[in-house]
Amino acid sequence: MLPPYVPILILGGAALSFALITLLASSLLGKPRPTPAKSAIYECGVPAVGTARERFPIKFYLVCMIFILLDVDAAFLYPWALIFRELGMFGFIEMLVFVGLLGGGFVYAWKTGALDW
Amino acid sequence: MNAEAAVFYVLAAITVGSAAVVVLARSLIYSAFALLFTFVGVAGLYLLLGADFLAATQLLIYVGGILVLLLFGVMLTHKLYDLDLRSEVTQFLPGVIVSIGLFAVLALTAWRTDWAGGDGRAPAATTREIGQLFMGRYLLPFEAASILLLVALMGAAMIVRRKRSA
Amino acid sequence: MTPPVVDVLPAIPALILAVTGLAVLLAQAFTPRGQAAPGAPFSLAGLLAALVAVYLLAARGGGDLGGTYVVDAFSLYFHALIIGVGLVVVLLSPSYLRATGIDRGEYYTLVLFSLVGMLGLVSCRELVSLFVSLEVMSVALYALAGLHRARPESQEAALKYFITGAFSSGFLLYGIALLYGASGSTSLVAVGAALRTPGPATAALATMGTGLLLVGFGFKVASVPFHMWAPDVYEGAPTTITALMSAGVKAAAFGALLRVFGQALPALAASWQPAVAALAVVTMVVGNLGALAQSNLKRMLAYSSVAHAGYLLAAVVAAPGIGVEAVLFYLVAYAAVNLGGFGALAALARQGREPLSLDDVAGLASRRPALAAALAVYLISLTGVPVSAGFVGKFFLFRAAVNAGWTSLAVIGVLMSVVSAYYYLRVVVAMYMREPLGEDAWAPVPPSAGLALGLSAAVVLALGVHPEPVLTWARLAARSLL
Repeated sequence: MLPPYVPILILGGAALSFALITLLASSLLGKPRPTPAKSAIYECGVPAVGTARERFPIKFYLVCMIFILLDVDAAFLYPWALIFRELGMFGFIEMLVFVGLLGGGFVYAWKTGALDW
Repeated sequence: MNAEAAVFYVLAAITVGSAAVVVLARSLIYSAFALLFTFVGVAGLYLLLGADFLAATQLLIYVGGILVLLLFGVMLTHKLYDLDLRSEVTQFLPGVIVSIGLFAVLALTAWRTDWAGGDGRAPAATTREIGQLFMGRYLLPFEAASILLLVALMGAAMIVRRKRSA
Repeated sequence: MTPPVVDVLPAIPALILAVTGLAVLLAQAFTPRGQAAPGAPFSLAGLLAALVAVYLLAARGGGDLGGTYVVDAFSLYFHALIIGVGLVVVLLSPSYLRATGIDRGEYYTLVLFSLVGMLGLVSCRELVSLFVSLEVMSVALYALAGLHRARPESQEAALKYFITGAFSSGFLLYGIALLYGASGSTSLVAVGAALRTPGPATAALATMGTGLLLVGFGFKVASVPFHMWAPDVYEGAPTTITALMSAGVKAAAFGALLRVFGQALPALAASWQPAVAALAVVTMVVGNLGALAQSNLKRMLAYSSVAHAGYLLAAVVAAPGIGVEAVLFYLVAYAAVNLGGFGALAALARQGREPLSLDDVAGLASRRPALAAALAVYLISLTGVPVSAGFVGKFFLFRAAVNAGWTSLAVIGVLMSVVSAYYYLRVVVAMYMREPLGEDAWAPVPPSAGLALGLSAAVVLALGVHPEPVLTWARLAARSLL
């Protein structure tokens, strides 16, 4: 069962070794010469304000949860999309029910202000 | 040892090793990052078994979603970054005995069982077959999964909802 | 390839409930903020429609959906029971929700979705579908348990229920995986066929899977080593939800337990029967002794619900035969009694408070004679005094255990029932023999709750005096499992 996935394996290996070699090379070749500017936290060029380790608002949790639910929803779409043409109307309705149920949930979340920031 | 076995052992080592880090890490954030490698390792194992759809889903949902949620969970919690999670070790000996016993029983059973292996061939591509099963035989659990997602969404929305004057 | 043709008719009752739930949710979404959508009338209409659908399905002779979801006499019996439980809970809810300030449309949506999960749980003939149904039911109940956001107990209940529930789901899933490994299928019938001729090589695996399933179900029905969540969750959850949990979840979980163990695992009966018997003994003893020590009525009823899981398990030991119909009959009696008991507490709630201690119900008979009488009927039935559903039900349970050769179980059950009389009748004594303390702090019984409580009491008495029709039906349902 291995051959079809060998390219993915090679790609993964290449990505991993690129990251490792870069890190290794810079630590071997370079000499650390810290200056205040260099050791400051990089924040897109703007001086950093406060610490990054702050408590996040709970709202992020809901956004992330909604993202996961959409993620799962999308994952269920793939197998259906592959055989969509063979299924015809029945399959379409089945998927409509599936997506519609969760869609109702999003309408609810939106209208009740769960998404208000 | 052929190539397939070699890949399996590498993936298994990644999975088990990172899972050990998840359990033993001093900080919650290290645990969460180690979990990334566990998830990827498991996805690799799925791929090795020919379960391509499952592997893709594992990456999409667990690595792309659940892990982010976990990290958010850490960030939502006050000062959990630097919290030392190690607690006092109590019941060390009974714990060891129970874990080793459980492991021995499970391993022995897994080793000696004549597993129901089907016809021994992995399917070429599973996504299409899974689609046919979802739309046919497993229609009801498929739609029930949607209700499950909806309920989860409602629960999350209710937790987050700001307290309003009724 | 021709498109797959699936007969969705058997799932119509569940579909009706799901659509009603979605309608209530959308109605709430489009209701101005701070107001509640009319969830109760919607839900009642949906539940009645589902009940009609069940009746029509029964007339049609059931059906089968792709082999994963089957509507036989067994599922129809549970369908009627679960929808009945839903009706009573919805009738009890509006006044309670208003009294405790948690009146929102989502409540009814979640109740309906949890009922959908229960219907699936008793109808699935395939382990993965069963698991999805279980999760639908459980996740909805986790959210419902924590509905009362201002009360820390409610939050604690939701968290405890969620963590132990997720833990038990893990056990169940592990058990399912091992059974799949041993048999190569997740269909109950195929698992049963594969295990009928087990080689020594798969027997150990299947036994281990069975054990894990038993642990998972043990959590869900709150049998003793796995009951620690029950008192806290029952106490903290909104009382109408506690009623739903004690009546509906227990019925659905026992239904799934009977179906899985009866259809997939009869070949392993020799190894799981002693385990179930041991669970039954400790559950009966610990549940009843725990209830003795409680001063909070909700906690007392929670331990009593643990104890009753023990009585029911005593008959599950005799499951492949007479035990099934005894369990089925008792589940109806038990559901009516628990809906009534928790419902009576909920009906009296006023301004966020409800009667929780013996002092709170002291002299209730002089102030709310009808409600006190109904509550007395439920408590007497829980004890198992003759001419109540509880007596007839316990008689069948213990007879099933004796017939299956487990006389000791029946003896322990009877002894423990005697012990239980103390804590049940203590409440009756407080209601009838004591003078009321202080001002009347409780709400007048609202009409819809009165109807629900009257219905439950009528069922309890009717089953006690004339159990034949339900018993015949239970026998029919039990036979369809074989």
